[in-house]
Amino acid sequence: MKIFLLALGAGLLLAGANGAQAYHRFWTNCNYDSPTFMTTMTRDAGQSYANAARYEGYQWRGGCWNYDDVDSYPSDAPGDPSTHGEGGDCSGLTFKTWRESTDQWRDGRYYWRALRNVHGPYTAGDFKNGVGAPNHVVAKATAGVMDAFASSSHIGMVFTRSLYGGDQIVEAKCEACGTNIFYRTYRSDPSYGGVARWGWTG
Amino acid sequence: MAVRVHRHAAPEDRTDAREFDRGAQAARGRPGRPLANGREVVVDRVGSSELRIAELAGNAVVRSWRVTSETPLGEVQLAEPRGNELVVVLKTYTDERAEYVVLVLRQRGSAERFSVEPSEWAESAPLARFRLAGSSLYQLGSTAAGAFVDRFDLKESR
Repeated sequence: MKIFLLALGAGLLLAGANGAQAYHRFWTNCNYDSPTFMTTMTRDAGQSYANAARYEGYQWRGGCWNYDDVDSYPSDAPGDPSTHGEGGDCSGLTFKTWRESTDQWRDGRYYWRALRNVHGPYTAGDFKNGVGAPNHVVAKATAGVMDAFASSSHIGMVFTRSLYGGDQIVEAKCEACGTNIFYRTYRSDPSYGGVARWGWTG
Repeated sequence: MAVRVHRHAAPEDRTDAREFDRGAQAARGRPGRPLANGREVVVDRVGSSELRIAELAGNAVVRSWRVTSETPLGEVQLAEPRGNELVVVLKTYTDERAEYVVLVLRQRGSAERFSVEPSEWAESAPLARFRLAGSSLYQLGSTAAGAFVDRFDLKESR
């Protein structure tokens, strides 16, 4: 009986170890290179960058993806950064698209490659409050392409405005819905505020 | 109270169904919402304070309205004919507040208008909050206590 219990314990430990290893998956493809300092940052380039992140999935507190149009690790446990899956979360996607620095006092333009694993220092609530030198609050009615709408728990960027009064929003929405462009009505939702990046050059 | 759930027959398995390619989708796309009588309703928001609504028969405008507002206009939740009227539900917003405005439009302006509290505690499909059935306008809303459906009885159409 003692041997059986020891074997059972060892088996459970090994099973646990396998589970932990399974959670270091997509991030093994990612790097930690320095960003490229840029002198320009146009809104259409921002659209292209965010558009390319579509279909690449969602990872809470993540910021690393490739360009194969597939979420390599879908259906991870939501809200668990240790799953290390593909994709950014809402604030990570915005941070990288807006070419921001990990130093909140810097307002320069820093290009992060897709596989550079970086989330940035801001939560959605930080963006909503205009925290950080590159960010500021704008009136929602004036928010245009590549400006954003942020609540205390989510942020999405305006891809285009829509005829029916809503907006096509590019966003990393959730584990199940991934990163994509969705029709949203954040503009008229009181829980969302308008936010924008300083320093667009076109 | 007992809740009875009726099971509906599953739709026929259509294993030959294929998605149209992008070109075909664009060719079949329509800017308006088709109506049962073959016409279409088209909505165009101009800037943040003007809305243009038209009922079309083919490429001809049968009737149209222009709605302006000092408060910014958000999404149009509903634009649907009811007899010779058109019921429109649109949203107005500021940075802190929002409300829905229901307009019943006739040939010479609005016949009826009232405001509705948004009650959007829970997120839903963006344009799924209002439905018109006969003279009743239904609103799907939610608070922290749960979801609800309110009914607003519109005046009889003339």
